[in-house]
Amino acid sequence: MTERDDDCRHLTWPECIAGYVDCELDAAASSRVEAKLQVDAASREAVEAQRAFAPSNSLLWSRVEPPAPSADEWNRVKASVIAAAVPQYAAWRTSKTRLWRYLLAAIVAVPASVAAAVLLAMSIMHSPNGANSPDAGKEPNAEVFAVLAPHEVEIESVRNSDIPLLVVGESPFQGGVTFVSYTDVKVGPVQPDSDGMVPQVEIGNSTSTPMIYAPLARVP
Amino acid sequence: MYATLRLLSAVMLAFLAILPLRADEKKQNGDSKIRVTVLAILATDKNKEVEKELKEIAKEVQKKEPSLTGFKIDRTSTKSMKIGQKEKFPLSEETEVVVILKEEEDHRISITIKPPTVGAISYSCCCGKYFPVVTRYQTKDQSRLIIAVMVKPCTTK
Repeated sequence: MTERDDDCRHLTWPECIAGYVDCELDAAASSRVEAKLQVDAASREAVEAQRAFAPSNSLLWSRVEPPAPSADEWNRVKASVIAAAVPQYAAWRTSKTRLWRYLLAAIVAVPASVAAAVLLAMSIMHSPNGANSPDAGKEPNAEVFAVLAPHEVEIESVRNSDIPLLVVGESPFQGGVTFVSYTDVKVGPVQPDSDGMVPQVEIGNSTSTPMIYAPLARVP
Repeated sequence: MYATLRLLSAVMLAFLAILPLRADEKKQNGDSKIRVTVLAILATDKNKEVEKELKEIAKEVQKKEPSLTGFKIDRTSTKSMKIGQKEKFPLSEETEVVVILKEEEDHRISITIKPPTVGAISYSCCCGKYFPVVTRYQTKDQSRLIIAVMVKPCTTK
């Protein structure tokens, strides 16, 4: 046996043996080494000697290749990956949509709330029963009927003798009666009444008040 | 940035919300700018009590009807009206006067009234003063009905 073997071309024989033991040779070189080991006892002893360095790891000396996955296994893996990825994407999209919804809701709700608060504040400020009222801040008593405030009712007609009896509302008679002077009024057409009576038009002057006067019928 | 936009949005919304209210309020004021007040005055020969507000008209009426010595305001009626509107105002007992606002010009209102027992009367008058009409209507106690009509305020055109 020569120091350099033709079967392992660029390696020495011990390197070739070591390469064989370590499964580093290609299939053709391994076949040639195994063929040589059939006839060369010294080479077999060298192989055994190198493998004997770690008998407990003899399993490591054999080539281990994981089995190639089948098409079904590939499909299951692919399905698992998609199943795991799609919900996350959907959740991400949902969360993003929710974020926009929240943002839009905030954009709409905040100004609306401020506007409502401004209106409420203005109505309270302009209300005589508002913040300046002594009753402001008190809980409304549900058993007490609400009474109209004076400004909330308008008295259109009332007998003057009943004015002191008004509970709410302002009397239409505010006092202070000023009659027209002759320069304040210009009387136009005066129609006769159903019985033909035409009232007298008193124009007045600087010392008298103008008025319309309908005389009572004289009893003959 | 967002806070500024929100603040601007709030101010704009508040302004837009208040604007119709203001416009509506202005519209209401414009529609009902003329307040018509009608006094129903009763004059009687059964007493000599003259309410202080009626001393002036009592003196004028007594020139025509010296027997009427007592004057009092029996009923006051008021309504907000606009030009062209027609309204009835209750007087003493079951009587009423019809008032039609014709037009407003140069601080004067043209009015047509139809008091009880008197034909329709048209006149133009300044604002804030009462124009009296002595009617022929007599109440159950023989008091004489006098009405006085006043409009205000007038606007300048």
